[in-house]
Amino acid sequence: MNPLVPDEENHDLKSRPGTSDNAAFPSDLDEVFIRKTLIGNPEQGMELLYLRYYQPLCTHAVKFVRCRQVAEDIVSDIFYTFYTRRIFEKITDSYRAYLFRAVRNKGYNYLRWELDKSTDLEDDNRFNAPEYQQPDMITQYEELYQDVEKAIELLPHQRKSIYLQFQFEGKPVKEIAKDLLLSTRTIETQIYRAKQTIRDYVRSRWLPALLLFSILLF
Amino acid sequence: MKPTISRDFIFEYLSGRATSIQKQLIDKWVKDPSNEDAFYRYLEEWERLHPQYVVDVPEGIRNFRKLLKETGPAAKEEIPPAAPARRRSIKAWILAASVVLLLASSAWFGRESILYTAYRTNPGEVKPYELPDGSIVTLNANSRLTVSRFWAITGDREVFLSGEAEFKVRRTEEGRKFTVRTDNDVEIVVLGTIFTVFNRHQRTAVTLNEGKVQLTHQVGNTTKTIEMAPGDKIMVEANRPAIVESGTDPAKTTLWKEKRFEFDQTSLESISGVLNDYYNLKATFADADVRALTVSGSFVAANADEFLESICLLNGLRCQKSGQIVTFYKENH
Repeated sequence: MNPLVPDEENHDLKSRPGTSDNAAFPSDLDEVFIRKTLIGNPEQGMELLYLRYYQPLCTHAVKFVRCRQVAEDIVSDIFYTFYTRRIFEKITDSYRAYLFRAVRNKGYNYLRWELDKSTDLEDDNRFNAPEYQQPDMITQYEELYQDVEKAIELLPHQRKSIYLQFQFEGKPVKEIAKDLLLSTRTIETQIYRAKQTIRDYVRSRWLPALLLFSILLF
Repeated sequence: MKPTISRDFIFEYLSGRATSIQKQLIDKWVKDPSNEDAFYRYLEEWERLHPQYVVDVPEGIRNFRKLLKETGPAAKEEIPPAAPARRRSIKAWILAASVVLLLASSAWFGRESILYTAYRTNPGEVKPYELPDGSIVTLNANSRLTVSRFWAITGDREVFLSGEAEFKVRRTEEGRKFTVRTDNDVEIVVLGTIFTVFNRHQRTAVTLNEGKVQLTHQVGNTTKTIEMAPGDKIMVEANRPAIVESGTDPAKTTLWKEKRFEFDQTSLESISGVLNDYYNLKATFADADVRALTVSGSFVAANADEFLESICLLNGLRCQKSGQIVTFYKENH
């Protein structure tokens, strides 16, 4: 063991099943403290907010977008608005509820937009995703990303691995090809097929709803 | 009937194991705002317990700061002036104070906040740690040092000690202060220097090897400040004027770093204090005569057994250890 490395307090990993209070993870005391700091010194308060919520929000967002970079961009964007528009002054319920709701809305929009558009590999229009009507039921958010997860699970092994390297880690096609000793063309095809499969799977369940929105809008 | 939904119920749902009927129940349940709040609390907990990947939080904060800089004055104007970037304002001090308060309160409730990293040593263990600013802290047995996790970002060099430690504080270019606090309201402020702090049982002793140190402590309701010079040793006990001893040999206060012990006509009573502090052992004595004995000697002991062996051998004593209790008696008994 390296004595120069601190013993991290791994309270995050401890759980106390069966109890409804949250002794296993940071209490609401932190939120009161963050709120006070934000009002007194917004920049410092934002740092506390990052320390407190950035990790769980990113790891939640990634379920919708499957790309760590996009997930982090979405969360940072929410934090930025939170700060510049001084939303922290206006929130009456918890910051946590606000932030998670915002992440879920954005994640939902992103995913719906992704299902709509064509399966191009070059797709960097992520922030102009249109606003979809948000579902009425909270459980639809889980259903949507859990469907995507199921679809990924069904992919053949190598295709899944290639897809995740490309989508989640953001690894360039060329690098994946080099590591696997395959041509870039093969990698591109694999990614394309993976996307198509996921899309078909998810669309089969969500398309009627999608169509309905279009009719209502136009 | 109102549905009641537990944390476990939500966890089952988040792991994708809820039935459609259960989902309907949840949809109804979250219509109540307090339930919705509970839902997000469980969701956060779930995400902490089942992270998809490890997010680089400091990197996120750096990007946020960069973004603020880039968007520049236009965005700044909207915001009432925050604390000036370089000078530390009253607000920053209040923040620092509340950080300590938060730390104290979380220690009080017996749990850690995500805002802190703790460095600690077990009974009989001596261990060096490097802090985020490059300062080196060597912790003696049964000690604990808490450092704010956002230390490296905000630059407030503040630590909280219980136990005993030697600090080799690195001087920073900007001349940033380094502050050690203890649970009995002693505060030691330095720029860059070497010193030792002992803080156990509401007693604090600070010995300065090199450089300059400022020590503040509470006597009743007043705050006293003492400037220390190399070789000074200051002892602070609750609500008593501090005792200053000059010309001590600083090397002697850190003998523990080599696991060396030196006793000179030290009472067995004091030895029992050491046993307790370092090894979590409790000493008892065969009779009052034994208790009144004094011991002398200099030796190195890697653990409790070696310590007891040396003490006994050098002073014609015997001892018996059972569990965490050690009984001393005379050899000829």
